[in-house]
Order: sequence, then structure tokens, then C-alpha cells
Amino acid sequence: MKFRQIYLAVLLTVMSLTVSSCLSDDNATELTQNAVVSMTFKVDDVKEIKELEVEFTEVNTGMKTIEKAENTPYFSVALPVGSYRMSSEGIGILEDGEEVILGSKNEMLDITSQVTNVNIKLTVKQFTDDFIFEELFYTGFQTNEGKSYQTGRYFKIVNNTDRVLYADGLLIAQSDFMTTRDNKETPFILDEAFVCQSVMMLPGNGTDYPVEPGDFIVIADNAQNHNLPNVAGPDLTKADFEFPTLDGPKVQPDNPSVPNVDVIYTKMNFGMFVMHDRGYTGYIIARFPDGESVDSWLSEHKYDYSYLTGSGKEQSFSRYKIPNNWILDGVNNSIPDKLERLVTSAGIDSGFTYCATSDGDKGRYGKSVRRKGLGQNEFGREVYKDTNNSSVDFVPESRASLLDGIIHN
Amino acid sequence: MKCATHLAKHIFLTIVLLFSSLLFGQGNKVSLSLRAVDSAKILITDATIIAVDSKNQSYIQLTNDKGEVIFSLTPDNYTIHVNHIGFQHEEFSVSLLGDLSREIVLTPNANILEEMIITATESKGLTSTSVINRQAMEHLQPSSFTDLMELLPGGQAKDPILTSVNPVLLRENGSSGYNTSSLGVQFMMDGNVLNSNADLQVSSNTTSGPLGKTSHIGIDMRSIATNDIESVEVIRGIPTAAYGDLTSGLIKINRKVGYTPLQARFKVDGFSKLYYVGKGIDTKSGWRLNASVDFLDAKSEPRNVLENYKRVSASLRSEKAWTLNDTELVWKSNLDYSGTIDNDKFDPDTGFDRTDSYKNSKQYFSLGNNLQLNFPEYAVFNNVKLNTYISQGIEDIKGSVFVQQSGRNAIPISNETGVNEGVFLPSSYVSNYKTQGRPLNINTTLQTTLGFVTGGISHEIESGIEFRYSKNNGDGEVYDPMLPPTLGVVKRPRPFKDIPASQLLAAYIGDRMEYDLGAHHLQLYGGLRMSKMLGISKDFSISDRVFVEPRVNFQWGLPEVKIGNDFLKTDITVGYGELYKQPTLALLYPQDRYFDMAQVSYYDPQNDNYYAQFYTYRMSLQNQSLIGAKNIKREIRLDLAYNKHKFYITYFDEKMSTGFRDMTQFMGFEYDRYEAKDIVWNDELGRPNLDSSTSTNKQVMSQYSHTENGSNTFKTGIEFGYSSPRFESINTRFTLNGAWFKTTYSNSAPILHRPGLSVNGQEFLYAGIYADDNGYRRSSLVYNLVVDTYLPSLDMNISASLQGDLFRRDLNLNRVAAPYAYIGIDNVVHEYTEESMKDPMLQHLVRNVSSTDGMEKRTPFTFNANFKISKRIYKSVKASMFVNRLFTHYESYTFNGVKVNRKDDSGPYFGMEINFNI
Repeated sequence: MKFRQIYLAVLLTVMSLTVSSCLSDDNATELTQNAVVSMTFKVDDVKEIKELEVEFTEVNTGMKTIEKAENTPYFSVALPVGSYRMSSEGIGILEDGEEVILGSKNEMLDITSQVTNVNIKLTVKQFTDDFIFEELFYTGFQTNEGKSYQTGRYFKIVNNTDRVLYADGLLIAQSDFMTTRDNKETPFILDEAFVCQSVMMLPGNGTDYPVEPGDFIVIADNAQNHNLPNVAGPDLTKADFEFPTLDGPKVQPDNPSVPNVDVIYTKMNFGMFVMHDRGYTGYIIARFPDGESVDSWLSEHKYDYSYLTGSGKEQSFSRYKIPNNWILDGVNNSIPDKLERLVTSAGIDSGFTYCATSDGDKGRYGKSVRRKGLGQNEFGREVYKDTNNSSVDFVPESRASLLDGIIHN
Repeated sequence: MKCATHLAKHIFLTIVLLFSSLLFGQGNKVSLSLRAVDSAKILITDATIIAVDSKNQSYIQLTNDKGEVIFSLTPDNYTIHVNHIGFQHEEFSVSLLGDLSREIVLTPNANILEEMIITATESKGLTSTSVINRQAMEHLQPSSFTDLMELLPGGQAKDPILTSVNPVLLRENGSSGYNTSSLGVQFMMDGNVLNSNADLQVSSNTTSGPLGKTSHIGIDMRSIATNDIESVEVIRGIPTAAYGDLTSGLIKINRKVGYTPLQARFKVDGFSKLYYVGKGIDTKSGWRLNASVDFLDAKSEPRNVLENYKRVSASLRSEKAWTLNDTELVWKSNLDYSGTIDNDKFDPDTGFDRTDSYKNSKQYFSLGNNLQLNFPEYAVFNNVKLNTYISQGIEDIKGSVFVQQSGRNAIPISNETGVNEGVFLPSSYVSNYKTQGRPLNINTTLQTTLGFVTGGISHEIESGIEFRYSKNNGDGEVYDPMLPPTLGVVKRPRPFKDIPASQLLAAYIGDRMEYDLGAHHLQLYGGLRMSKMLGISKDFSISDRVFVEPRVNFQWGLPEVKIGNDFLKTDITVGYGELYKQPTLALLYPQDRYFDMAQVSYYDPQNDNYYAQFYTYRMSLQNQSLIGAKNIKREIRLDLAYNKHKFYITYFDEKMSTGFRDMTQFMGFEYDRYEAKDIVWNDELGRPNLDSSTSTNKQVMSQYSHTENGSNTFKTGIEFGYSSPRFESINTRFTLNGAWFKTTYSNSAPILHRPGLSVNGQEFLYAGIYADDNGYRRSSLVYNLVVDTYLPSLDMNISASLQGDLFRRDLNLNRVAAPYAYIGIDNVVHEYTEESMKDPMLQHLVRNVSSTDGMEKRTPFTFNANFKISKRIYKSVKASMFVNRLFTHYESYTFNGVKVNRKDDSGPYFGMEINFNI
């Protein structure tokens, strides 16, 4: 990690106010003593600070002082001695030119002496308003013998806000449409909804699964240790949720300490939710609005579509859809030179990301797509970029992060 | 080796002859120079010229490429014989006193010209039959029997696919899943049936694909070599009552018996190499013996060394006749070996060891003994035949696969219904599996033929009894149940030897009557075949059924009409026949189906505690009401012949509504599901204490299928053919054949279907019952015009076959979207109403039907030009080559507003071969 520190030394020479001796003696003379505040702003990962705005509020009088600085390392403020609550906000510029919102925690500041030195740590404050995908690992592995190992895959979802969120009832859905094939399905509904081939719903009664700001949850296909003698997979035994296949003749083991999600809909048998191993599909996170239940969704949101094949034959299908306004986040995956269309509305994701550069690309194994980090929040956890364009928000062909274990900061 | 020594002998002999003539001729030799030409003064090479002197000593030479021979001889009177395969024999005398030079004009052999037929000919008999002779096969240059199908009406050249099964299709366009019509084609080799009723081979590894699975399609045509075949009769129509256990047709293969020169053939084409050596001898004592070996080595594609197919056949045949008091006894005996191997070594990726392999080998040893007593003509009995045939097969599938489980998976191992503890498999292992089939087939036929005349009607009465026994004594699928080759199998291995034998007894009688009514010639065949399956449990309804198959053919030969200088001959033939194919062992005795439902699949990685429990339900898939598939054939044919122009046209109609079909069924189950988080582990027991763990009631609707007589295959069509004489000036014959086939494939019993979705964490719990399934109607009009030229002077045959579709029409039959009833978890049939359609769950039973179903796809004209040439290049050496699809045209078409351009994707296919006849 590369650190860059910016020291913003603000030296303020506060001139002593000369109390006019001309004033009549009757007036009780109130001596206002001014202090010199020397502030050091510190922020990781930021090349320079574009602008800053610091607000001081004297807690006794409620007097507010707002100071601004632009492209300057200096910051000057003159404050009377007092007890202050201080907060700062600003815009920083990252190494790659990206602008981020910076901020500091509300800090109490007692200014008593003539010169006060304050170290203020700025953190990235580019919050979104809900959960977002941090990582999708769908490619699986290849064993030392050259066999495919299509387990040990996961979704990593992060609370990219500055408040505690609850993962209860969160929906994760995989698109039925593929980004690599535009069949021109009718009726076209991507502007209003997302067409699913499989949808899972996290358990919970609303407050069972809190997630701290910046913290993440892992939803594994099978919460077991996939680091085997011949498979360099992750240890997912500490995943937060899992979706093993327990029906049908092929049964996966169920980890007793990891709750199972409900696959509330899938076009497949045996309640299977299977991620596309080359990444032809898109995924979304959604939440049912108040009053909506699985049953009401199942009865109201069936979507029938059809399309013509290259030889003129009509193919028709029935799937389910999730309205766009229930969707918190979405990401399109594809193969760069096979991309034909996006499977979400542009408002959800106007770009795409990828792990494989061709259909038979064996290099995709062990690779995931990960969201770009912008810096750390006040708890030392990463804050992620979300511009609803995964071409710029995601780093394609990343190394699957959980290969190093599930480590929460 | 044999061939080489023979060749050496010839060369030696020639040298000795040459030298001797030189030595003795030192004194007063004169030269005799002869030149062979045809009427057009074209030189004739390779004519054999024999000069015989007065002491009966002969001198032999072949004409060189200038058509000449020059003998150096002592003056004498010589008789000169001139022989050439394409010309009439010439013989004349010369008194050789001095040097002499003469030109010999040879007359083309008209018979040879006419007899050189390189297409299939339509027999003029009582039912529609294509006859393919040796010359046609030589010109076609086949790798296996599959290639001969091109010659039938409606046939087109196809690239050989020797790395997968080649089922036979007669009079139809074909559709996957409708196998009864290929199963219902009977193959006979030298009078003995090739019985596949005990074919049970199946691979235990379901993921690598059952290469070469034949248990439901009958004979795999790629396993039949063509080199020993003298002629093939393909009876597309109604065979006589002597032939049974077939629905679609009969293919009778007759192999060479008696003297042949030492023959060798070597063929190469894109995907295969073929080697053949054969020889036939006639001994002085009247034995006729033939021996041959044939080897084929094919690859799925030239660069793929990992997937290949090999065929070895060896055959020893003998025939001997004895005559005693005008009665002749003919004893034919055949000893055959045939072996085929499908090999597949999987190459997962370069850089990894090849752990996986698959080998499907089939070997058959067979012995046929056919005895025939031929009585003198004055006797009422014409002949008595007794054919016995025994064949032992050694069928082995052997495979090895590296299995990678997705983590630790548990499997059930109980073979019976009930709750049972599962076993956790290692996460990866090598599984070795094999399937051992040992089919034994014994056929016996006793047949007599009576011939007599009453009231001007001549009768030929054929009657006989036939018994076919098929048993498989193999061990079946064998693998370690703790290391299965695939996970999620729904069956358990069983030994084939536990399955009873298939025993078919049949008796038949048929009379072929001929009567001349003035200038009319009438022929009528009426026959009846009765068959019964023996040795089958009383539980099967087939056990007490006798299948009766009446067959009638009638031919009316109209009086000949004189037109111009020749007569027009007209025959009209009609036929009706009922035919049954009895279910094979694989259809009668399917493997039991196992339903395994996981109640517990617990694996705690923290302390490595694991436990699995299944509820297993075993179900027999035997359908005890299964009966033979019945086909009713009707046909009418018109034959016209005028001055060696021949024309025929046949209309046929075949209806099989009881074809074998895998029908989907559903069964609901309830069991207890213990989710891992609710399980209380008991360290003392070393397993969970399920009594104190909470469970939920889980329901599933499980799908399975069993065989029913539920399939319709309706075939109608017109077959036609015309062949011209070989026009003398250009030595060319035109043969046009073709066929219009309309085949309808559909279900004849209601169809159960469940939409493939899971909701609320479980599988969909309802199955709809629909009146109709995907059905197909396919029709096509296929043409094949063969233009072939035979040049006797060069002994060369050139042909062009211009073939393709005039049109092809495909229709997916309309389906009703909604079911008329449904079953739920209660296994009870409920009516499907308007109300059901609104139910959030039941709404899914309305199928996604396509608006283009019921819309006919009309694909227009296609054209392919195939060329073949064969020529004698040196004495007894003949070379041939072919190019298929040298020129092609596939016209584009429009379907549902979408324009589709077509082209030949695979490009020309070619091959060549060389034949020795020494």
C-alpha cells in the first residue's frame, strides 16, 4: 500500500486585540483571548486535497465559524478560546485523478492555550445508501489434475454506508438474460425490471444480521474449507450464509454454524442457484418493499417472454422479474469481445466487468471481480466506489480476496 | 504376405517364360505383332492374348499401353485367344511362317455394359426391395454398411461418422427419441438373423457420454464390413411371413462363396483407413472355402488421436454339396469373428496427466450352419432347410475417471427402501468402472418348401418354425460403490445374468401362387406368422399373447403392349402386412429406479463431525403391460419396362402407433429434513441425536420414466426410380431415383410434464397432464441422379451423382399450452380448471408453447455433386477415388419473416482406394 500524507499546517498568527483603553471604565471589560490553532490534516491514499471546509461550533454559545480552503496546504482560522465541536469535509484527489469526498469525525476541541496543535484524520466519506456488491467470485477453480471445481464460490456484500444495516431479507438474483447474446426478447422490460433465473433471500426477521458500516458479509455456495490438497480454494467455513444443494440426488454438506439462504425462485431443479462460471450473467441486490412477501412476489411478478432464433423459430419462456426500484445494486458481467448487451437498466449499471477474456480462458479460474476501494472510513474499513458503472467501479480479473481467509477489520 | 508371394510367383513365371522363349528361339524365330482396338479404333490395353501352338503350348501376353503385343515364336499354326473383361472373346487361327502384324477389332461386351450397374436396382418381386450388388459397392467405396444407405431411394451421401452409433433408417426422415423404427429393422447375414435383443450395454459414467450405446437402436451399421458382401437386399416393403421380429424392414446380406482371386483392398479417406484381404477356393472334392480379414481404423477427426473406432472382422465360410438319388444336400457353414472398439482418451488440457479413458469393445464369435435338402423337381417337396446359428458376444465397457467432488459429498449406499446412513466420499479419487455384457444368441429355423400345381395355379408353400433365444450372462455394471464414477446416479448396478432370457417362438406359413390368365400374369402371396414370447413371468401381459401377423402381396402383370419396335411391360403390385417387433431385454427388464432423499447432510468443519442420512425408495420400472410394437404396412407399386428402360413408383403407408417410448412419470414423496443448524450432535454416539433435533417435513415430486407403447411413427411416401439402358455411343447410363417421405412422430399416450423451476427452496410440486407432446412432421423430396459411364477399353467407370433435396418441410406439431389435469404431491389426478390457471403455483403448469409450432419450415432446393472414378490401372490392380460435395448449392429460405442463408459447412469429402485381384 502506498501512503501519501498531506500535512496541512495552518499557522495562524492571531494578533492580540488591543483592548482600547479609551473605553470608559464603566464598561466591564470582557477580555476575549484568541488562540492560535495549528491543524494537521491526515488522509490515506489521497494525492492532494482539492478543497476543505471546516466548521467549528462553540458549544456554549452556539457560535459557528466556517472556514474554507482551496488547493492550499494552509488553513487559517481565528477562534476565541472556548469549547468547540469541530467537523470537516472536503474533496480529495486520488492517484488516478478520481475525486472523493473526505470528512472527519465530529471532534471536541478545547481551545485554552495560545497555540493548539490538532491532528485531524480525514477519512473517505463516499457513502452509498445501502448494501453493494464488493466482490463476485463465480469462476471456480481448476484442480491440479485439470478438472473443474465449481464450488467455493461466493458473493461478498459490503455495507457502504456510515450506519449499521441489516442483511435480513436481502435478495440476490442472477439474470436470466446473458450479456453475450442479445436475443431481442419481447416484451422488453429491462427499463422497469430485472429478469431473474434464480433469486435467493437471506434469512432473518429484520434485525438478526446487523452489518457495521464498511463491514461485509460473505454468502458462500458451500461454507466448507475448499482449500484441498489439489484445489487452491478458499476456506469458507466462516461465511455468513451459504446456499448448498440439499435436494436431489447430488447432495452437498450443510455447515451447522452457517445459516442457509432460501432460494425463493430458480429455473433449475432441486432449488439450485448456480453462478455462471464464465460470467455471462448479471447480478443484483434487492429488497422487498414493505408489504411485499415471497408469496406476493411469486404471484404478481411472473414474466413471460419470447424471441425469434436465427432461423425464425419462436422460443418462449416464463421467468420472474424484480422491479428496478427494489434494486440496491447491480453488476453486469461479460467477456469483453463477446459483449452484446447489458442485462440491467443503465440506471442500475451502465457498464460491465469480467474475469475471462475468452470463452475457454482457463486463466479465469480463481479470479473474481472486485469493486475499487476509495480509501478507508473512520473504522479503518474500505469505502468503495459506486457510480453505477461497473466498467469503472470494478477491477476485472482480480484475485479472489477470500483466498486469504475471511478477515473482518 | 500371401499376396506378395503370389505376385512374386507371377513375376518369376513371366521371367521364365520370357527367357525360355529367348533361349529356344535363337534359331528361327518370327515375330507376331497384334494390336487390339475397338470399333472406334481406340486402343485396348490389358487385353489378354494367348497364342497356342500345335503342341498345345501357350504363350500369354497383355496388350501394352499402345494396345500391342509382340510375340517371338517358332513358325507354326497358332490359335489366338483374345480376352478382355469389357469385350467379347475372340478366337482365330494364324499360320505363322514369317513376321506377321495384325489388328484385332474387339466387340464390346453388351452384357458387361448392361450388367455394370453401380446403383441399387429395384427388384421386380412382390414387395419393394432394393438390390445392391458387388459392382455398386466397389464403385461406392464404402467404409461400412452405413454408406450403402445412400443407394436407397431417398438416400444421400453422408460423411461417415464412425465414432458414434449408426442406426438404420428406412423410409423416414428421422427424429431423435423415436428409435423403434431402427430397432425394428432386421439384419440377416447369410440367412441368419443378427439378434440384438440381449444388448444391455450401458456406461456407468453418465457424464462422459455413452459412446456406442446400441441397446435401444438395434444393429449399429458401422460394425458391418462390406468387403465380403456379394449382394444386399433391402426389403423396404412387406417381407414374407418367414421373417419376423421386425417392423420397418429387412436387410438380407449375402456374402461371397466360392472361388475368388486373392483380393486385397486398401482405402483411405478423411477419417479412416480400411484394409481387407480375402480369398476363395474351390477344391476338387467340391468344397468351396472362403476366408477374409477386414480392418478399419477411424478417428473422429484426423487430428484427434484420442477418440477413435476400430473394427476387425474375420470370416471363414464353407459350402459343400452332396448328391444322392437326385437329392442334393447343401451344407453351408460360417465361422465369424467381429470386433469393434470405441476408444476415448480424454485430454482435459495439455499439461495434465490423462487420467480419464473410456473403451467400449464388442466382440462376437458366431457359428452358423445352414443345411438344405433340395429335392428333385418332380417331388412335391422342393426343399427342407435347417438353419442354426449361435453367437457369443463379449461386450466390455471399461473406463477410468478422476472424480473431483465439490467438497465432501455424501451418497446413499442402501439398495432397499428405508432410512439409511450415507457415506461421505473422498473429495477426489480415481474411479474405475466397467460394464460386462455377454450376450448369447441362438437361432434355429426349420423350413420346408412345397411346390405343386392345381387348376393351373402353381403353388409354392413355405412353412416353418423359428426359435430365437437371447440371454445375457454378463456381470453388468461393476464398480466400487464407495468410489462411484458419477454422483447423483439414480440406479444401482445389477448383474445382467440375473435377467431372464428372451425366447421367441414363431411359426409361419405362406403360399406364393402364380396364375396366367391369358396374357395376364397374376401372383399372389398370402402368409401368416404367429409368434409368442416364452419364458416370461405370468405378471407380464405379453406372456399369454400370441401375435398374429398376416401378410399379403399381389402382383398383376398386364399384357405386354407393343409400342414401336418393343414391348411395354407393366406390373402392378399391392401389399398389406402387419409386423411386430417384440420388446428387447433392455425394454422389458429396466434397472430399478432409486429415489434418494437427503434427510441429513451434516458437516461441521470446526470439529470435523459429519453425518449423512437418506431416505431411499426403490421402484421397479418394469412395465408389465408392455407388448410388441406393431407396424401396419400398405403399399402399391407400378413397374414399367420398355427396351431396357425401367421405371417404378411405389406409394407406401406405414402406421406404428405402439412404438416404444420413455414416458415421464412423477411420484410424490414426504420425508424429514434436518437442517444442520437444528441438529444436536452427540459426541458419545459420534453422530447427531436426531430424536432431540428438530426436523421439517419436506415434500418432493420426483421424476422418472419408464417404457410404454406410447409412440406414433407414421410414414407415408412415394419412392421412384428410373434407369436407362447404357447408351451405346457414349457408354453412359442415367439412373434417377428419389423419394418423397412424410413422417409424423408423436405421442400416442398422454404426456406428463413439470416445469423446471423451484420455488420457495423446493422443487415444483405439481405435474401437468397434457394431451400432446412435442410432435414432429417431417417431409422431404430427395433426388439422386446418377450419370455413369463405363469405358470397357480402359475398364474405367466414371460417375457423377447429382443429389439433394427438392424441398424439405419441418413442422413442430401444435401443442396445447394448458394441461387438462394435474397431479400433486398426493399422487392423485385433479382436473385443471380456469381457477387453477390463476393459482400462483398452478399457473406454471401452462407450458410455454411457441407460436412457430404449427408453422411449417420450408427449406428449398439443395444440390450436391459427387464424383467417383474407378479404373483398372495395371493388370489386376484397380484404383478408385471419390469426391463428395465437390459442388454444392443450398438455396436460402425464409421462415417466420427471417431469412436464413445456408451453405455446406463441411466442404468436400474425398477418399481413395486401391484393389488387388491376383
